[in-house]
Amino acid sequence: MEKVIGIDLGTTNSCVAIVENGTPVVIPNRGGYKTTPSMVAVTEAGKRLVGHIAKRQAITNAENTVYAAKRLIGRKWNSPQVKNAVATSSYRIVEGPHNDVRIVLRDKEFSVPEISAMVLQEMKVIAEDYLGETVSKAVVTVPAYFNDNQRQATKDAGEIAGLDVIRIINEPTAAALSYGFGRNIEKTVAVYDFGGGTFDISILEIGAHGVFKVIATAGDTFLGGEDVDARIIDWLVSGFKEEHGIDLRQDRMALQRLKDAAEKAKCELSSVRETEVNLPFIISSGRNEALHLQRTLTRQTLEELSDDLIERTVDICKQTLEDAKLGKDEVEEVVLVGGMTRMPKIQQSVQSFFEKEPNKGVHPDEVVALGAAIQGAALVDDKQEMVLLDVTPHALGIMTFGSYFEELIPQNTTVPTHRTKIFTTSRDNQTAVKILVMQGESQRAEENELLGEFILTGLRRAPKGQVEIEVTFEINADGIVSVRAKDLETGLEQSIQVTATSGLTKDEIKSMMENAKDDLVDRRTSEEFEAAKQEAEKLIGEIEKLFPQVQQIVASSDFGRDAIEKAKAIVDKARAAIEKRDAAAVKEQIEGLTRTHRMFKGVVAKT
Amino acid sequence: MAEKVPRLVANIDVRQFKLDAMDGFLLTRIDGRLHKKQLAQDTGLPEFQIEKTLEKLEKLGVIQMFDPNAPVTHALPPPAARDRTQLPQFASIGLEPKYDPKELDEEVELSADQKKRILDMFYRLDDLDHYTVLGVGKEADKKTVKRAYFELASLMHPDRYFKKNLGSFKGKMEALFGRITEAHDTLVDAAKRLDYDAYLDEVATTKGMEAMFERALEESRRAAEAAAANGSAAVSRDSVPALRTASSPGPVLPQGPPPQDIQARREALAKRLLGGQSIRPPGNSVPPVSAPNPLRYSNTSDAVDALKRRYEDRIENATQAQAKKYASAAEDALSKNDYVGAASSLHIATKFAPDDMALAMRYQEVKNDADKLLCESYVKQATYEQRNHHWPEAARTWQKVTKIRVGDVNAHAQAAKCLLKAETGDLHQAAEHAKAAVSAEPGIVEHHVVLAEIYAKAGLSASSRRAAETGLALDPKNVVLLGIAKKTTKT
Repeated sequence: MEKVIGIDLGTTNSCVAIVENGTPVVIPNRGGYKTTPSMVAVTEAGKRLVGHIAKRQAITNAENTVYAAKRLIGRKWNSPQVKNAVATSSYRIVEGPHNDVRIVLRDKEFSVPEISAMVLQEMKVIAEDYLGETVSKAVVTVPAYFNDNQRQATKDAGEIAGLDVIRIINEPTAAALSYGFGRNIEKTVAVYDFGGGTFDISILEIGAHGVFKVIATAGDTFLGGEDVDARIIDWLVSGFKEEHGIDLRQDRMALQRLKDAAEKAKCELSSVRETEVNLPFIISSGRNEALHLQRTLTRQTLEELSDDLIERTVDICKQTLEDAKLGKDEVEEVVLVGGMTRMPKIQQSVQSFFEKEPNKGVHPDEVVALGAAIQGAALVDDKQEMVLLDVTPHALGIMTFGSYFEELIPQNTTVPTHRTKIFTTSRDNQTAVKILVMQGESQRAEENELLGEFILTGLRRAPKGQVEIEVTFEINADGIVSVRAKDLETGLEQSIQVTATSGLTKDEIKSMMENAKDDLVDRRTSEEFEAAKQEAEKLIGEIEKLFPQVQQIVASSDFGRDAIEKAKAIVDKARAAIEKRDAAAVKEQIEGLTRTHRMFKGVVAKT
Repeated sequence: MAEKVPRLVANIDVRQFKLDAMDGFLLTRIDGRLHKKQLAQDTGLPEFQIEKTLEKLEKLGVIQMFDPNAPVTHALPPPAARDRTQLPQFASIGLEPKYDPKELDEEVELSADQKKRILDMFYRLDDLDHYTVLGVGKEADKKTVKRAYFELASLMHPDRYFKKNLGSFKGKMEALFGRITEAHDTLVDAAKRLDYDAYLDEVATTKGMEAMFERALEESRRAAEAAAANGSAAVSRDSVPALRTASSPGPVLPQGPPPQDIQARREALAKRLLGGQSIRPPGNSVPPVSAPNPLRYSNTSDAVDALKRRYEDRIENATQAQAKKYASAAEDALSKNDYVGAASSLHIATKFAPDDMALAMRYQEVKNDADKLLCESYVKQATYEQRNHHWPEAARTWQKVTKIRVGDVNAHAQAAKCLLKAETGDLHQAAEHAKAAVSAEPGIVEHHVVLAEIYAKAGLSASSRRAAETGLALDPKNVVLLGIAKKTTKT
């Protein structure tokens, strides 16, 4: 049986594991470390360096050393996250040909998946050295809140590295697999995963027969230890500026040193109350005189600096519990994952939110890779009784007329799954519809991620709202999304498999929306509206039939004329409501129509 | 030891059993709380009759007797144990396989057993409710639901057969997995479960009502006999000699049978009413047989006549008492808002007293109420089904409405629409409903559109064109109709 490795491709560190004789183990690298920095560098001689060796030379080669590439993977050039990274990174980030992101190392441009591929390749080699055989299959983890574009880019990175990524799984889920593996427990577990770059919270049920069912998951893909480091850097830089009037950010080498020092100080403050940041000769002053940076950082200052970040994670936990429809008391265990959870303040915050002491039985840096290895083994080994029932972290749907996002598969739906909804044309004689497949939680389409698009043509010419188009979304067990649109009348069908593209930006979606506005599908009016419309139209018809008669009878009196005016107004209002396809408004008018109709009939009957 | 109490066996369809009206009526009274004596009081039937019927029902497996004072665990088997016994049964839940046995021959990496189980479940999905899909009882708590789901999920999740050749089974397993997940997600969410249970209740109510009406119908055939014999007996009271005035005028009297049959029938009826052997009449209003006879007779003939009269009176009294009992049982039921039970009881009562106009009217009245209730229930059910795009089910339910309310245009229109949307809808029936809607409301274009579409789908272009043209006369700009007219002219 072929061996499958599990790789935790982290923002700052990566880890590889495998199941050996039924036991998951972490594979140490050549230096004996169980984790490897996710850093890549190119030396002056053009040599490629990955891991510890890249980290060690980072200070002297800051411009050609890439860290935290994961924060850029699958993102678009003009996203705010990339803008932020461009401003704070010591390496050069440029725009790629498809509105994607490229990293420049020694005048050569690399795509982000290529950089991640170098890290994955290093992990593959570590495993091969340990096992003494080649490895070609892997399960790779991503933050639970990654969207499809980011997942696809990670899968691409695996392919570039020569790995068949048989499954992408979510980091907190992997942690839960590792926590519950072989323990034969029935428990509801929350995994709080605060890593280098991302924050995730997942709530799972671990049950009999090795079933792990994710109930809800959420997170923030731009909230992690790196952000805490950035706060420390800010604090150091502004302090230095006050003292010397020099902005250390202008110097890429100084920035890299600050970054190192910030990370080190942060880690130290998990065990001590204060630490000294000491960076001699950090920069030269105007008078060719070297300046030193020396400041004492206390745990309390660090906590103040990162207070709002921790608060954000707690808010997300709260929301996720609500999504899972669970009370705090129903969560039986809280598992802490990710290096940031070593911070005492975070442990306190988690404990006070969930009202129970978090479980520290798992190794926060290794547990994710172990879980990935377990999932890999479960997939290829029939003897492993374990099934992971995961959910879609984001809602999936299409953009409808008026640039609304119409959801087909809600957030936290267990996969595999499929959903169908019927839409209709948005303008008269529309012969084609454009289906824009999107992912996200916002009602406004442009705030969501575009995954792909296709056009269904050959529709019958008809007034808007008459042609029915059935749209079906399907997610299979491998997490691949396919979308199908079908003209219910002709049976014509179009479909795509959504393999995330380099995608489009909000601006592009906006301009596309302007251009394609007329080609969108419309939400189908509800049965409720149709029923109300039918009733109203019937009444209007009958009232209008009676109009001439009534007019003749009552025209002589002021009261009669007034009544006719009122009746006309009611009919007009009802017509307007029908035009607007507003079920509630139509219903409102029905009462008036009924009254008018009754009155008319009475008038006619009396004479 | 306390008296045993009968209760219905869970999850069985009583319609599969051969029951007569008496059994059916008694069944409606069995609620798992009343014992034999209380049932006798409640129904006005003699206790031995109840006993006999209960015995029969128990033998058939429709009901079971249990000791209400026994520990609760006896009354409700522990859910966990039930799950274990129900799950393996699941594959054989149906009586015969619904799939084509050839499907078992497909070369895939699954055992024959697995294949069978998957096919069995897959083709029955539409017939099963969420509880049955998971193999849990209605009262199953969250934990039980979860356990059952986890077990099934561990068998059905495609990951269990990763990179294996599953052929056409792969899609089926994904569908099964989707369905058990839907069942789980619905049943563990309190609000969703409530909504779903309400729907199931609606279905159960209408099903129960249907069964009841079916039984009442069947009963009417059987009771026609009784009615005839009874009617004659009632008339004979005032006209002596009774046997010669079989066809005396009566407002609701059915065609009387030949006189020579009457005696035999009467005896048969008496036997039936009195439970077969005993001649002791039921109820308290009938004097016991052993009551001393105060009259003296001058000759044998007089004595025979008197005996005959007394016998007739007794039957008359017995049937009247029965009618009364059923009528009061009906009023009882009404006071509990059990319209169906009331209608059923009144129906039986009218059979015992066929010339009681007041009773007949009361029956009509209550029957109308019951029908109205049933229809409301159907409409709710159909609306839920329509909302969930269960077209065939919705069509069936709308059709049931049209059976009760023949003139319900909306029901006809909806039935036609749903049959049209259902992939395997009966287009002939659809057309009938659409036609009914058209003829009731010829001015509504929508009805013409549906009719034209049904004809078009059935391939009847001439009829389709005609329907489209009629519709176009009302609304010359209707695009759907124009399209149909165009298409049908071409061919």
